[in-house]
Amino acid sequence: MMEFAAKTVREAWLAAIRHILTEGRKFIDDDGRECHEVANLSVTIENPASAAEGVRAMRLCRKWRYPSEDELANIILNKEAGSSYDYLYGQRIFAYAGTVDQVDDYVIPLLKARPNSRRAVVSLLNPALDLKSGSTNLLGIALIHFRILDGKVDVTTVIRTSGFFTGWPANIFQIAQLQERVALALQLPQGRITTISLAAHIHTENLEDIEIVLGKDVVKDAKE
Amino acid sequence: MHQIEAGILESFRREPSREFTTSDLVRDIFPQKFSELNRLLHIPEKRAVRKGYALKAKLHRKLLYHVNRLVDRGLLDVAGVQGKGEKLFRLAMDEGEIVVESKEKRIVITKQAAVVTPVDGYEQEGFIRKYRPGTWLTKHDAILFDGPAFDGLTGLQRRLQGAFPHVSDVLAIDRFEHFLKDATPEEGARFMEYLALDAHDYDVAVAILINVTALESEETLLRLFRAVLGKLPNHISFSFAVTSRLLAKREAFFKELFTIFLEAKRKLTLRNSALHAPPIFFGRAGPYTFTAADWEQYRTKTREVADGCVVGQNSLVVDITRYFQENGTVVGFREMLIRAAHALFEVDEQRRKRALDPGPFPGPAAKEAFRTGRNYVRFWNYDWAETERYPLIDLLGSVQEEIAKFCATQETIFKSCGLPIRFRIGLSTSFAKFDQDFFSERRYKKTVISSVKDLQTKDLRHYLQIRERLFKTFEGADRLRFFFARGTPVADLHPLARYLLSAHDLPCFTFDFRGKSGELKLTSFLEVP
Repeated sequence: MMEFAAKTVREAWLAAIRHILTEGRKFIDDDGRECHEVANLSVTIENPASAAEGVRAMRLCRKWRYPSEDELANIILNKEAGSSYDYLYGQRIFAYAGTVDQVDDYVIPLLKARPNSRRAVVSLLNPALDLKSGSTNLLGIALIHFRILDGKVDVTTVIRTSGFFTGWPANIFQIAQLQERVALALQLPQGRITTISLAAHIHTENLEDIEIVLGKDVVKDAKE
Repeated sequence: MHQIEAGILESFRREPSREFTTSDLVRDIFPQKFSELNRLLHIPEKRAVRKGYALKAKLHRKLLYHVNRLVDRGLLDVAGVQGKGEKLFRLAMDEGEIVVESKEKRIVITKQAAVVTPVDGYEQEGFIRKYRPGTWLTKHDAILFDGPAFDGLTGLQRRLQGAFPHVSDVLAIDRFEHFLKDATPEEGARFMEYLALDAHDYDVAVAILINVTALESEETLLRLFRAVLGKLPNHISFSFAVTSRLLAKREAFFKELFTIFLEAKRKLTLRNSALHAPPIFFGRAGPYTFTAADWEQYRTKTREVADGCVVGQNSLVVDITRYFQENGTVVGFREMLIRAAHALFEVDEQRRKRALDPGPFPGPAAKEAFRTGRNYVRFWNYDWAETERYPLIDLLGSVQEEIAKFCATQETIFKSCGLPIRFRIGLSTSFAKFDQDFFSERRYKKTVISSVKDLQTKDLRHYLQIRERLFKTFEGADRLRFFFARGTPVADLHPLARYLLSAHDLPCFTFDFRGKSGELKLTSFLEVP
């Protein structure tokens, strides 16, 4: 597994994109789009206060509309589904199968009682609902693991597939929101955030956009 | 409360964000006198014009007396002055709710904070207009209910009453023939009369869609139309799904149907179901339909769990003539439409924040029912004579590709962020009723027809070929109307319909019999180059 660690989201994001573009294998995905992809990419950021950097950079681009911080936070912290989304992370976390609040009823009480526990896991995939062969909408974030390390709340997230340019900035921001909530409840500071992307990819059609958002050097370096 | 003041407030209730001129309100409150004064002002005789101006002054004075009373009560504000000193009025609040109660009437006006979008500049320039922007976040332009989802007309009526407040343009009832198995023509007529009243109260059009293939009792339907058609207002429309073969097979039925509609001076739409499977129906803003993929999704999945679905979300219209007359360029036109797509997406974003309000489809079926909705960018005044000078249809086709790409990109980005949304925009035509005050003057020429022969002239053949292409570009969301010359024999209508169904790739066409009795209005004609 390739691992990157950086202080901020921007640094980690740049390093990971460079890596995917230089080391990733090219292939055509299920939707017929050309990708660069690496398997099992681990990215750690040390400063969760930088979590919104990627989202803010993406929202500056006028070519598209990137989700707002409000909407991103809302869908991971809110258990009410509404009708606009095919699935909602918040619903899986706070009302799994309509009943289980995995954070307030499990993770937080567990870590309060047993700060060294390695069992503080939140599962988002619901095989009964999600694993249908015809469905193309399978959740990206599959599992979130909270631990208290060095007196801080660390989070590790397993992401099934991660569009590293378009999706990862949103994912890391969302995880930071959830981490903040757990840390507040435990009265501890936020620690590191690690994402493990089982399939980390960048679509070739986004190369021009990457230059716009992150600068020409990123793609140029990758090409060289 | 005085009736005129109630009428004025009713106009603001319908469009709470709009600024009304005195003339707008005169037209709303005194519709008959307004059309009379318009008629007088267009007669090329000094005496008639003088009479028209006198009537205009009288109506304005009468209206202003009541408007000023509402201003004094703090309900309305003067927003400014337009043209030659005509005042503009608006609600005296930025957002919130006004409840005006009197002994006999209660009017509730809800005004949302203004929806700011990237096309507001184009709107100021008069190139783009939003359809009923005051309801952009709270209502849907078009909703369709499926007949077989209901046991009978009473259940349907109850459901529709609950749905009307959530609709801003049109409510369609698909497979209406389902009710004709059990209901008597009298029950059907009573249902339609109530429907017409509700539609009027909510200022919403209703489209009744009948699949003739599944129609078991032709006589019940004909008796129903004989009983009620002449009494129904024009905002209730009828559309029949047919094929050329079906028209031949049920010739007697169709001949009688045409006769009834002709005598009632009504419009009747025939959809060629062999060519376009999804329903096509018309609101005031314009036509609505499904893409083939959405229809398949609705037919095979949504219909299993929901009694209907959203078809149209929000619409905005682009005045093509005005844009190009004011030195607009093709590049600028594309840019404007992409901004329009961005604007619709921004509104969608705001709408999602309110998604906990299930609107017309509460319960577990909501997700499925909302999965078919589309926004519309509509076009006004595309002059066919100009198509040779600039390739309008090609331009619209390529714009549609760009907009589809934008929608797909948005869906992909949001999905990759863990927000699996649906966002689609369709292109379509706009009707004059979208906003009569905004549009540039219609530039089409008018022509009436009387037989198949007329359709075989070089000009009309060429025209119909253009319309076929446009139907393709708009994925079926277009309307083609035929008006008939005085004295057209009823017997000619059936062969005409068969000809259009078999010789042309037209997903639908409308026979408009209103013009036959000499009541041809400015907005009623067949457009030809």
